[in-house]
Amino acid sequence: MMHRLEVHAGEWLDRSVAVRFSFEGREYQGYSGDTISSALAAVGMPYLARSFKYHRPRGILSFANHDSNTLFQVDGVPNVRGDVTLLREGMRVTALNTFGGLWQDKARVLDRFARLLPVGFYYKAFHSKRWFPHWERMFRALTGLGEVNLHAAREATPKRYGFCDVLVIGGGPSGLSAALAAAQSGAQVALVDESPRLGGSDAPPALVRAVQESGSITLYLATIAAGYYADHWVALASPSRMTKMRARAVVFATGVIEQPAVFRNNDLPGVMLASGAARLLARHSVAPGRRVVIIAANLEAYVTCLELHSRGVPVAAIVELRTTAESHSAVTSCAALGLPILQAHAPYEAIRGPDGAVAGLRVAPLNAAGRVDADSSRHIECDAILMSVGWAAAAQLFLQAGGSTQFSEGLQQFIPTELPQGIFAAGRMNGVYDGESRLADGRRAGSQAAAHAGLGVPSSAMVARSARCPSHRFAIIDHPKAKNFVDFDEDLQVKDLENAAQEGFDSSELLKRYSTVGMGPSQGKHSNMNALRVLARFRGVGVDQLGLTTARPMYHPVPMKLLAGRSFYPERRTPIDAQHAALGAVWMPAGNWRRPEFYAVSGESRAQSIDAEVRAVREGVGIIDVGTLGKIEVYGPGAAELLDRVYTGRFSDLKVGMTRYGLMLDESGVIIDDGVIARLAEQMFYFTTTTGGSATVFRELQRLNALWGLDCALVNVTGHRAAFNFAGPFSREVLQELTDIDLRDEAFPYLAVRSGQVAGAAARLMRVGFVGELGYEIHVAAGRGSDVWQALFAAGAPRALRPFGVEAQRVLRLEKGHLIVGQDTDGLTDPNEANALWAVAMKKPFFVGQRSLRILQARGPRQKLVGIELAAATPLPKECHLVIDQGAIAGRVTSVTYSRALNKSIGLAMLSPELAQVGRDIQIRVDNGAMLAARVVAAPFYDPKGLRQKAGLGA
Amino acid sequence: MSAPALKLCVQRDRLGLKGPRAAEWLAANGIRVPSTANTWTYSAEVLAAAAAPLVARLGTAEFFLEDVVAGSTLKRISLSLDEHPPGVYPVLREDWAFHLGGDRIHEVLAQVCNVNFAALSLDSRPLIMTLMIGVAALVVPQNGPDEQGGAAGRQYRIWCDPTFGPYLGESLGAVVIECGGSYTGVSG
Amino acid sequence: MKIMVCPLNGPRPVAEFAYGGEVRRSPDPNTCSDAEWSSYVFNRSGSPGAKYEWWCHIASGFWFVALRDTTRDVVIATFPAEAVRRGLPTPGATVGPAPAISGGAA
Repeated sequence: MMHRLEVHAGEWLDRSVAVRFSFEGREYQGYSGDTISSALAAVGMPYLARSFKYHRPRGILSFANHDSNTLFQVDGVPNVRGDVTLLREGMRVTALNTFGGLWQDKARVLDRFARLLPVGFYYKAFHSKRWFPHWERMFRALTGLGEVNLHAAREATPKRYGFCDVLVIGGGPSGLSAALAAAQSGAQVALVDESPRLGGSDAPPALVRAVQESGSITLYLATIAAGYYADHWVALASPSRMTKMRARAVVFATGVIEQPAVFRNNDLPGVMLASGAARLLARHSVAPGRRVVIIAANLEAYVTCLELHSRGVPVAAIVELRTTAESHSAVTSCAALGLPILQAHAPYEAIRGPDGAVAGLRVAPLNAAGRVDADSSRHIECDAILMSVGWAAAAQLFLQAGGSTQFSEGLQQFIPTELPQGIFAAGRMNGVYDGESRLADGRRAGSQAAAHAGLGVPSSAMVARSARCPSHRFAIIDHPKAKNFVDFDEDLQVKDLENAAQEGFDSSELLKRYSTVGMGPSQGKHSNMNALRVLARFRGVGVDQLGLTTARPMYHPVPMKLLAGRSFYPERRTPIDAQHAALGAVWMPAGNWRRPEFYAVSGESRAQSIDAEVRAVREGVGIIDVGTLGKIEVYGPGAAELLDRVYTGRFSDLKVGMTRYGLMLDESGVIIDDGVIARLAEQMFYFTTTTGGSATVFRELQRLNALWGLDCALVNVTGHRAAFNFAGPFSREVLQELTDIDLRDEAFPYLAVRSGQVAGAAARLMRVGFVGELGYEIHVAAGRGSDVWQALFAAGAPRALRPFGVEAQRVLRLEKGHLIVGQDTDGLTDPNEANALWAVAMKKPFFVGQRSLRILQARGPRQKLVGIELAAATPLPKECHLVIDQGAIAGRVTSVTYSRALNKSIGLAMLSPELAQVGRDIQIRVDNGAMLAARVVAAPFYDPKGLRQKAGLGA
Repeated sequence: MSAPALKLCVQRDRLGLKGPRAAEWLAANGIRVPSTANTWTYSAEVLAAAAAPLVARLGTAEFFLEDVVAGSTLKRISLSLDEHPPGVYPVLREDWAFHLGGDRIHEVLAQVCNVNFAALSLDSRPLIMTLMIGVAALVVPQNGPDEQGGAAGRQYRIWCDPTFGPYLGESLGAVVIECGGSYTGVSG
Repeated sequence: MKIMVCPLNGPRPVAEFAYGGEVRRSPDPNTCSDAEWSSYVFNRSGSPGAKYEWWCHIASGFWFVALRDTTRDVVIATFPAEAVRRGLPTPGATVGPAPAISGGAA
């Protein structure tokens, strides 16, 4: 059983501060500096969690932020890693994914039905449509990790951009010396390590100090370099923020990850990686047990034994997989201390004790062919089994960076071969294992990285890779009763992988996807290497012929809050925004603008308010903020030519002082935008685009202008001008009070544009008819918008002026039969189909979309936009409801509203040409499947001759 | 040491110009123009730094001018623009303008923009057109103090489309405040 | 994120740019057949290789042309937009650095 040892120099604990916490509802105590797992281990908890699939008891494995079997729910936060999360006073910790708690988990019965859950179970079981819902319900309940708290408060965390010359990933001996060497070359260095303390497992203290004191090395501790993106952009995830680090060069000193031995019951609590036990011992003074067995296949095993021995932890046996250990002082010291070494032996089966944790190990002789002699096995009593059989390069990020690796038979490890530009590798992940050579390799890489960033002279040192082999070639022991786990996240046994390969999924990529090996929260850090070895044996090939899979970024789980950051949302507001708010605007999004949908008036319903806004425009005067329209100026001798080319209509013959409607097509002849073009001077036009299209239309016009090289310049004043549509029978009378422009018909006819003063501000007035009444679009500088709006408001008060929102405008324009690009047209609608050929000058030499339109016109329309009406009592269909003819889709409703002015429902519909005849009855299918009767009618519906807007009738 | 401070600067005249003869026209009106793309200068050599309008060259053929508080230069030259000089196209500039100064400004900027401002050399008087938390912005780094009364040291003048002004001001202001500073602006 | 070197604004992350499609030459709309025109409008070559592409630096509204090797996702050279009118070199041909943007008025 694990337990706490006496105070030890260098431990990370403050024993003067006790920290109380609860686990599974019971109170415990640890020390300041403990992590959840170390505190639970110190109080002798037999196990900490249950596995994902079979609900087997699990304990500490790596104690290195890779313990994905010991995730906890902590104070409502799911999937908290116990091995690295510091204990806090009052913390409430519970196990994940249990039915009835950790100790009495009812789902533990699944362990006995393991053979009913073969590899690829989902694929085999879930193909039946009939049974799928049943399986889905069951497995969604059974599997999964922590519970998401849907009511958790939103935490806004900063994201920041970082910059450095050299980014060093890994703060072990090679990373430290790389950082120092780069700094000495004059580089600004960023050094990242996932541990809260610098130095890795065994860096010289003097080196750590030199780095801390360097002055040009910025430390990112407790930080994970979680993803590599193009051009040396690395995501650094700290507990409280994300840093997007842009480096000129990157040194990967990411080290190696210890790999488990695979044998029966190798997942029992108490079986752990030797490096994990060493960390627990050194940092938290927790002994792995009272009688420890170590499974050895490298020098590190003996070093760990000496550490255990020096702390008074009894070592019952060293089970050495090799026939002989290397000759090294650590090995001879262990022998001299009388620690029993069983050479050429393998772990055959770990024995479970009554508390669920390990109680012994059955070992068996291992022959030269790698076969165990089970008949000669014997039992060793122990309460901890440490595994020190090999390592895998932490190369996930290196592979993301485009580096390539090759399997070294001598090192039994994938080592970097080709390095992309600006990428360097050092230390154990580079195959350099021991002592001074790791430091030398770090110095080399740091110097070369700095030189790549343009600083200093690159080191030409050659550092030899390790001569000893630190990893066993096949620490995987078969057992007839299996439960020899390769992947602890997904509870995959050796036979699962072999069965997957047998079923044909026998490449590393296919094996991963089919068996899910490496797809759990630890992303294969402890399983990919052994899975490859199993696959290599199955196929009778070397590991070098299989290749590694590349983990996608981020390769380590990162909290969503770090990705969400502050959630910036660029919102545009017109200069009248504050007035809208004061008037009770109910907002709606329009592109990235917010616009008043309507103005809420107390005592009125939404429908009543919209109706009153419509009536104000029809009978009195109304004002709408149209500042969201795209507003563009084009100047120069080539201005008219540009407009002739980009719009379907002709603008070169537009008289100064007049406006004309314009339709814009793409190259395929589809309508993409519309607006009003005003000629202010011979070489100066001012025009509007749709609200949604302003940015993209302007950008495309700039491109075309650059391409054609016409002598003209475009200016986007969308945000720099406020604009209102001031409309209604009394609009002229009210506006005349505020302007020096003569508004009488003879001086300012329909479709004219005039410049002058409105309420003391320089203004452009356009007499337009979008809403079907006498009306003026008033454009002023944004800074004057608010003043002019207020002046118009005051002047309109005697005529009961009302502001109107987007909804009322939709009703008004629909009564006039005006289409809205993108609502009444779609990505296939040409001008013929939209009844807009009147705005197309086909005789012009060229305009964008003209050639395609010729082809489309010869072919005839596939659909036609028409007016429809429904009897007043008919319920209103929705936009996009389908028109059905003889059981088939024959069109759709694009706009629909109830018109008070006409006392019926009106709309626009895109219909097949056969149906698009005035007087034709059509059927519209609504949500509940019912059919509504409607009739095709001529549009406009209201004031068809346009007398109100043209002659100002109605006042 | 001073806390970072973001200030909205409203009362200044601004003017943009485009067109093949814009540079020539400015020179004829006694305004010095920067000779290289994406740089700025003051319109005239003056004793007190920044007592003359700032003149920025946006790309090759566009200009952006901002007068000092209560300045008269831009008012004067704007009048002659009404005569529509050929090849000179006025650009309405109703930008929101911000002034960012004080310590930790580079921490603020690092949270809102991917340009490495801390590493910029100001020798050539660079002007940066970039995206700042999703909004196109014009940034002029300067070494203070200037007539804003800012402290000595690096400071930034930032302009953006007025309709993005409230968003940029509020978002940037929130970061400034979190970095221990203040935002003096208007709401809405 | 990828860095792109804008001929006007220097190196910037690609998020500062908008992509404008491949630079393609339109057939003469007055003489080409319907089939030729339709092919121009609707067909794009997805084959990897060196391609001229339109790119716009959003904040400055500056359009330029980049010759990009789509196999390696590497920008080989950039050109001012006017170069499209004057004629771009064959993508296979050796291309020098992008012409400098002069400070003189256009």
